[in-house]
Amino acid sequence: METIEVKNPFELVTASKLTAQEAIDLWCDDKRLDRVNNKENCFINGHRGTGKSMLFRILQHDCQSLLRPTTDADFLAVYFSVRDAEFLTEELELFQSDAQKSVISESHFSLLIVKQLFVLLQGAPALVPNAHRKELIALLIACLRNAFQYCTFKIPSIDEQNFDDFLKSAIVAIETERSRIVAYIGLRLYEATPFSGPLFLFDTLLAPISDFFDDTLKKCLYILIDDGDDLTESHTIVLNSWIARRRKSAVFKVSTMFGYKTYRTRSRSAIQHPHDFALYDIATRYMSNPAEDYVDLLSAICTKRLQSAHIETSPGKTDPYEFFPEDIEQSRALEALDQKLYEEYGKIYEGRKVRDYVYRHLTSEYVKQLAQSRSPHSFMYSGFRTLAILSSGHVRDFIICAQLMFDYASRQSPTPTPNRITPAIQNRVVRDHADEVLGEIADPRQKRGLHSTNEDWEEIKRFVEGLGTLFKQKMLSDDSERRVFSFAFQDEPNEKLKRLLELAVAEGYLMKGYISRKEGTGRRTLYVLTRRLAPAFNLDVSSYSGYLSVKSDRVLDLMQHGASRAPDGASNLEQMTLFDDGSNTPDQWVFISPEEAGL
Amino acid sequence: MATSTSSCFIGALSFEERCTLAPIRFVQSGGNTDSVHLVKLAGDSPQVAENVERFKKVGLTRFPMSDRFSSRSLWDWIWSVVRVAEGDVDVDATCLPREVLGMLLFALSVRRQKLNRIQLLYVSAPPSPGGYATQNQSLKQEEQWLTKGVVTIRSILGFPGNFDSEKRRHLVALAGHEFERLLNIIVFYEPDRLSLSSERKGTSTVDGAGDYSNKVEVELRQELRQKIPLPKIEEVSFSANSITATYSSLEAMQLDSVNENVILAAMNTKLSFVGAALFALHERNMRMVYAVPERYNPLYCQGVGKLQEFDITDLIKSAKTRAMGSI
Repeated sequence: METIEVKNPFELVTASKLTAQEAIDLWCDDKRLDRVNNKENCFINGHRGTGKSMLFRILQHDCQSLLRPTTDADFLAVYFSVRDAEFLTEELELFQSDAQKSVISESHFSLLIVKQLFVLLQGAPALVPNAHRKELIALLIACLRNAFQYCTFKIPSIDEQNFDDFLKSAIVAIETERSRIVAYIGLRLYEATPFSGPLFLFDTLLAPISDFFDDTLKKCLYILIDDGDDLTESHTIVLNSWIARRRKSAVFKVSTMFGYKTYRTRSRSAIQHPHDFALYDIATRYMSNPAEDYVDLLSAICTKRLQSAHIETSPGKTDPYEFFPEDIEQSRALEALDQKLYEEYGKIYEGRKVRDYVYRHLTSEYVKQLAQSRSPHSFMYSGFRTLAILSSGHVRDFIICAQLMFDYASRQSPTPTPNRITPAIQNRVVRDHADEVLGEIADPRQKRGLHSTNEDWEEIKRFVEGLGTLFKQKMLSDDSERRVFSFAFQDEPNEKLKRLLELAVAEGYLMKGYISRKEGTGRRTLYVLTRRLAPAFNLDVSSYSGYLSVKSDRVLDLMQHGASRAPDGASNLEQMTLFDDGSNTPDQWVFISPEEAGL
Repeated sequence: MATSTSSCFIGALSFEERCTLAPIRFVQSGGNTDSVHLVKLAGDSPQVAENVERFKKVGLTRFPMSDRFSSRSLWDWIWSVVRVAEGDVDVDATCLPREVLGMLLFALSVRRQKLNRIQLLYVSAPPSPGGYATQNQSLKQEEQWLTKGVVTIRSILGFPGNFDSEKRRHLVALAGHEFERLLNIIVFYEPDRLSLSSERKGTSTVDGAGDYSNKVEVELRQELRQKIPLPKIEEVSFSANSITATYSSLEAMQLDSVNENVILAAMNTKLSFVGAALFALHERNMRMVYAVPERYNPLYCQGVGKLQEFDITDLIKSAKTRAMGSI
């Protein structure tokens, strides 16, 4: 009997490895691209799996040609993946103590980027029209002559007649010089000889070439540095120094996972936001608009993936909301409770306050009912919207969970390809995933090199557990506002606390947002617990309107003692502050994204 | 033992009793104690103290400390020993971590013009009862592990490879008993091509080790899919008990390090690691990688097996590294 292999529509993909067509087929999110597609230096911060590399993939020439076939773009993106290059070697790490590191790193980095540019031209030579090819050839030869004038090595031969051959010989020449540097760095382990090869600096290679593209071809070079945190310190300083020049012909777009080593430049000053670069925190953008943008984005991604696997959720239709249905029993119970609360609150409150309080308390009351019946874990996390919000901006997390759900559903489905995932499977997978995320907090594996210790992660884990427990108690309280997922400080946290919170942010356990008074004065930092952990504490993810205002001593206490210091009746200890729903407090605060906060 | 004439003996002071066998035999058969260089990488413990006492009885008292977490510290110790080495050299691979062993082989290859014969010694784990913690049924289940946690993943000094953004990544993984460390390496590199296998049947250094490696390989295949976009997994054939057979197997794979970024993660036995490292000393475009463990199980290997000797002179002498003083 022939076995039909079921294609899981939620297999993971690596954006940088997609063909242009594959990337375009999967691409859904134009809004985020607009933030990056401009002639500004820019840092894009986001955790693994939030879509940074996909933005870079789409900016590249081959994708742009498919997306906008009739438009001649005014930029040319040169993609450079730090992880794919030779940066992650111990030789380079040890070279950081070498006196020649700055100048060698600059030469190395210039060559790597220019090589990427020429490789790109090799695939698309028409980017340089015939009329301007001789200029580019002459320019490169001049750059080489300049670099070789102070060394004894022979200037490489560059083909000047045929453009294809020119590109080929240019790449060979650049590669030879790159290899010379890499070999030299290896040699420094055991030989104390000075570098005798040619040096290629920004002013003598990258800048003249980018000026040619900008002045002659009217294309600004976007130099896309993917995984910028993995650059060595000396290369990071070189890159910062280039950014500090703010040259209009070459702008740098750097993706990081919050672990960028330094903002120092070679002149020991630092590049600063917004003076030298824009900053875009890719995962928090949806927080300012109650999740809808992100849910829409995931819905589009999900639809495309299901369609590519030819999955219809109903005849002629592919709808993620149908593919990941809500639990009907729970929905009915919530509807009945909604009605009951509406009647009860109608006797206490007036006007829109009735609906407002029902909205605020509905899930809380439902979970209380479950708790009374000793089955709090029977709260079902299901439905596309819930799953999307649970992934907390981490597209990859959503895909990983959906992949597992599909696997489970395939085994249970009477047909080879399931056309929906039961709420029970959805609930099981996201609960397991939350436990896994919680368990990994104290595990030093795969934590990025941020000078952290195991003790730091133990403290962060205890804090997250304490915070989750606190939020859960708030949800089960009889307080006016019970939907809390974030906190802000009443006082200035000490350096240790700030460092630990930064670590938690860097690893995606907390997200950093900002709140501002509605009239625009004042700004406070808000720390938001990742919704990925909600099922571990049986928290409702539907909507959150409040934050806890806490003293730093309280947070330190949670770090030391964890959930045991989250007392019953959290409102006794924590001052509750509301934002976004206006009427309840004279101190009106609204959530703003880091970009809106001007950060 | 033929090694007593060697002018340089390099090994480690470890918490394993196995570390004492070869150095003590070297001295007892006439080797000069001043020629013995034993690095101490482990922290103080009763087991280490016991081994120190064993060494003291034959006059071995110097154990320079090196920080196993710092490749700078490891390299400084290795180079301090190898840069002055001449004549015959014995390397006791038994308790040298793979990373140190790789760096050492690289250093010896750089120094090759001053060396005559290079011999690698290895004391295998004894058969049950005892042996590796992963197979030791007398231990409780929670004690049956070799290492825990991964502090960092890094290339081994001397084996940076020749990587290029344009090339796709091909990871060749030799699976052994270390599930967590190999998983972390594969996830970290997220390869476009993955060759993953446990040792060839019948080549284990100790009975039952192959079955355990096989189990690790199967678990890796299952777990990886949840972590990274997983390519079709290809086979890699190697021998856990033979340096030369592993070398030849890798050679026969005709790895395309010109068009691919090839990464070698040799996480099976020391002998297969040495075979892979020697291969990478000839195929210089390949990168060797290592996952630095957070901690070792003090019960890593109990008891002492058989001492074996392997002559690796030709493979070191023919290495494609740039010899010291050749420029």
